[in-house]
Amino acid sequence: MRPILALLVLALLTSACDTTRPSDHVSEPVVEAYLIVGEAFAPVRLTRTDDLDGVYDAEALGIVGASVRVVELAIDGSPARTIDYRASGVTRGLYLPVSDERVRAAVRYRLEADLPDGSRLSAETVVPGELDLIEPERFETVYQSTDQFEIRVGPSTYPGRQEIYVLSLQPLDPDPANLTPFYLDALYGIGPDETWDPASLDVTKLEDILLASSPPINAASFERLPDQSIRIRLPWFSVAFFGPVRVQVNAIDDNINDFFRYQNAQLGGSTLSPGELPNIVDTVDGGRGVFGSMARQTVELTILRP
Amino acid sequence: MSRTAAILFLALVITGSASARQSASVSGFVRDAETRETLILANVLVQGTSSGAATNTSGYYVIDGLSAGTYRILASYLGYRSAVFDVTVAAGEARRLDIELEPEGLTTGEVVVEADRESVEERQRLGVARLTTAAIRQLPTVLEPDVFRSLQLLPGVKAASDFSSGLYVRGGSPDQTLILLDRTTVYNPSHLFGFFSTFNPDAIKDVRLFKGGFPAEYGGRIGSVVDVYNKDGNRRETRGRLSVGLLSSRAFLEGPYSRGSWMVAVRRSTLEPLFAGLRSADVEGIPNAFYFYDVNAKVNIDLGRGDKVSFSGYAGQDMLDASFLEGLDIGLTYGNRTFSADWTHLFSERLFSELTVTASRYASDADFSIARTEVGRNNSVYDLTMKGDLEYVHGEGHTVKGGFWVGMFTMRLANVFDARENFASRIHAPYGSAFVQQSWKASERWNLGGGLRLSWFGEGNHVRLEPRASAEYVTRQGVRLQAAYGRYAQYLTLISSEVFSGLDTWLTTGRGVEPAYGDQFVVGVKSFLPGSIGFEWEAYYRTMRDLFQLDPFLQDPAGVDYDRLFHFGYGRAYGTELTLTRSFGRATGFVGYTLGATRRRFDAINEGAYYPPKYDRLHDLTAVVNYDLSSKWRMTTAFTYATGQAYTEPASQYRLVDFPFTAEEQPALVSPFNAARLPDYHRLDIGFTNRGRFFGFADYELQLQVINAYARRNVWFYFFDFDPDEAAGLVKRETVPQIPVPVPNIAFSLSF
Repeated sequence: MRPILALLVLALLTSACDTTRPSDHVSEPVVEAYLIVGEAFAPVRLTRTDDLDGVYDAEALGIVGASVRVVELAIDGSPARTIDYRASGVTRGLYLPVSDERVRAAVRYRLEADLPDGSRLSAETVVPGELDLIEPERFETVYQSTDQFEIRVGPSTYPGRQEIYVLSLQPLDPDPANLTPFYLDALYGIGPDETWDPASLDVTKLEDILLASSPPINAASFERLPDQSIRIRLPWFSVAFFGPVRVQVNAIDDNINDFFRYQNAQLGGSTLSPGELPNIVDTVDGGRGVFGSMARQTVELTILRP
Repeated sequence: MSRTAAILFLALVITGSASARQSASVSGFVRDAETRETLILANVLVQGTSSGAATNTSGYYVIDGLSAGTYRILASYLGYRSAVFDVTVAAGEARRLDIELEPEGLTTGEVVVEADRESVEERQRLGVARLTTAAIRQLPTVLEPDVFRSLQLLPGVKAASDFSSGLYVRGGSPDQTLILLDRTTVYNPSHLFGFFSTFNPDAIKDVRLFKGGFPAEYGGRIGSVVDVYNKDGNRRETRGRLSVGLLSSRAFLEGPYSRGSWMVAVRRSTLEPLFAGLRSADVEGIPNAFYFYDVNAKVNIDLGRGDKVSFSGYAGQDMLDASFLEGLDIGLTYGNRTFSADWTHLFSERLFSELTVTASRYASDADFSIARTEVGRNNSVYDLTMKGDLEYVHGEGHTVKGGFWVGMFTMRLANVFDARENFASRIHAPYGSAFVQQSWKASERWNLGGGLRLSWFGEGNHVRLEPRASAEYVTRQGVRLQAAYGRYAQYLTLISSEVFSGLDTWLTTGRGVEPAYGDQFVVGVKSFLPGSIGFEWEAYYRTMRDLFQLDPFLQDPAGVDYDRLFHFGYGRAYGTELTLTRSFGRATGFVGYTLGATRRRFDAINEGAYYPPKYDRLHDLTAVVNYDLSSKWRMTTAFTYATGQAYTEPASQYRLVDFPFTAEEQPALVSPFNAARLPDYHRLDIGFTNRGRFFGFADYELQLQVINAYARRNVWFYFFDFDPDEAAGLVKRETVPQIPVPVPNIAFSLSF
């Protein structure tokens, strides 16, 4: 009996140290490219994953000497055309298309990269259908007035699911003096009645809002009009600056949507418990990253002070 | 498996019927002698025989199968002096014996040890733990005595953190525990956004936790059951209690009237003066308003010797109104309302019935205004039910119980964005279940139980059969060897956050969403060690199949088919629990140890492989000791040690440099999911209670407590900052602690 008891105690004591050792970093290739309908083929960036001990430097991690191409696939999956890439020659790991061919809507593309170590990385994207801008092309509106800015787009399409959109705002005059009250308080703690000197403010704090985007939004979240077009209202909280802003409506593919979804969970924005960090779903064979596509419309808008 | 269990159940019923014969019986209610409050699970034994019974949830017992003769009846209940009665019965006589037991005082020197051993045995049911409100009030606690935080100290029950009152029982998540208050389901039993539970200990008579292997009369969850009963109210005299604490104050009043008794308990937070002081000191982040309250009330009407009607209600609400920044306003209210009307009727001494109508409402309403963009989420649950039970004592040691539970479950959920409703869902589902179960004392050594539950849920039209079985063998030395099996089905799932429970939302099965179900296997050994130390050992294995949870990667539910809102998975949990309990003497308390593991598997997480959820802990040790320093002073300590929780330690990172939707690089982590462990958790809480007379008109109780006495800085979770001030491109791990410093608590109560 005593040896059994001793073994049991030993087992308990040793298992009490059940702190699974954090796993070691294994370097993997990473790809990044975003095709936009109607535009030239996007640059492809090849890098590698890094450990968390130091500062992440994308250029230092760039993969040089890779052979990169994007293949347009026919409905039966056979290659329909190939867009070859070359190293940019300026930025490590950046590859540029050799031609100025344009991305077509609603087709499948496969990215292939033969890496210097002999491995191959590949990923596919299904490009969303065309996105038509119906109205308006330019607009002015007074901040927080009842006259909210609206944009109407002819719906894009995507096989097997409803369209998913991401709205982006890019201020064209991103000066601290132009900050709306909410963001002035959020970034600098300055209330509406306080006097302040714009020149004294740390402009690096503006980096987060120089291009700000919504999370993916399903088409069903927007008002669908009888002609099947979609009316999108710009929420006031997304407006960080007075003055001219660029508004983009992006219909995104599954790969970009997946990155948004899983990264949001990694950053704590899901129902998972804090500290539970799931990996981003694997959409790249032989590596990680995003090979995505979208259809996009852009309008410019001026936000007037009340 | 189901077919086998059904055959077993039928066999038990048939053999039980064969054993029935004409015999004498003794039956009645067991009550508190001071208040005449009925006592649940009190033990009534016929000395010198193996005959005996425990009172049911109405305090009623029946001992059948007695031959003509004179018997010595022993009644006992933990915390009460045992009582002995000599009863003579004639052949076929149904003798009514209502019993009243005297409660013990603070000191326990005159206890009849043998009798109390027997009362403890009643607690030694497989998978069942019971808490008295006195114990709940004695335990050191953060700001407020709390039922669920007390339950968290029991073996097999874990807490997510110091800030959460959620119950993680035997590897299950909180939504796998059915929570009943006077037979009414409570859907979000929390105050202060999960910090502690809604149950006011002043109003509670009895709390039982069925950790697993629970009988067929309970259903609807695949894990466990917390069965809470409000006090009936004092039937002898009007009594009251006032308590003042740091967080809230409580008032309790109970008394008799011509037809029965009544009780009302009120609790409300008293933080307004603190907030006002902080605001006047220009402390930022103080809410404009925050409060919570709850009210428990119950009225009992005695209609006759065998009829009693009671009406019980609960109402509680939390409200927060806060403004931050220029144009960020938050309004949040959530709360529960429950009502039950209960009629108990004795058809005869052997046939007991209970009919209950219940209503439960949970609603949360969150409204945010961000720079005049209105965002909201409104959720409500309405659950109207009727339950009926019949309990028949069929012969010596043979009890059959059957019942039904029908209801209508209505859930509404609406999301509002920019003042426009962009998601709305309404589920209006009838449901029902019926059960039959029996317990049978097959011989002097064997106790057998079996049951069958048939459940149906209208949304999706799902039907499930849930067999249950149990067996107990008592050795000559009094050691109880126990085993139980049960299958359980669950039609609901909870969207919740470990951090914040104010937005808890329930969803149900539906088209394409099958009910979750699981099997539980439990074995146990119960005995007494020298010195009246109760010994309990249990081991369990349970499965969780067809788990359905809100897809954690769902960004926008608008326009998504119902079955696509969820991700589906599996789980399993296994472990062993050891408990040593001492209930008598100057030093009382318990030591509990759990060696356990729980795993989950969902396709989109951990590449579809099993992983430990955050609340998985291999070791869990709790020691609670009460020591009477003198007739007026008592010291209570609670120590907890647990293996660190699972978390994800990133191994690699990459960044999307050209991401077209942001100006900054977008970080991504590559990590083995939940493969690392936080540092081990341990904490010591100490409390002192002083009791005495207060200027001759009331009894007072002063509590001085310190939580986390030696300032252990337990880790709640790690947060990874991808953009620290130190350098762009660096990832910095920040520690978010649990309660990091000793927290004092003082409370003062007057009972009159």
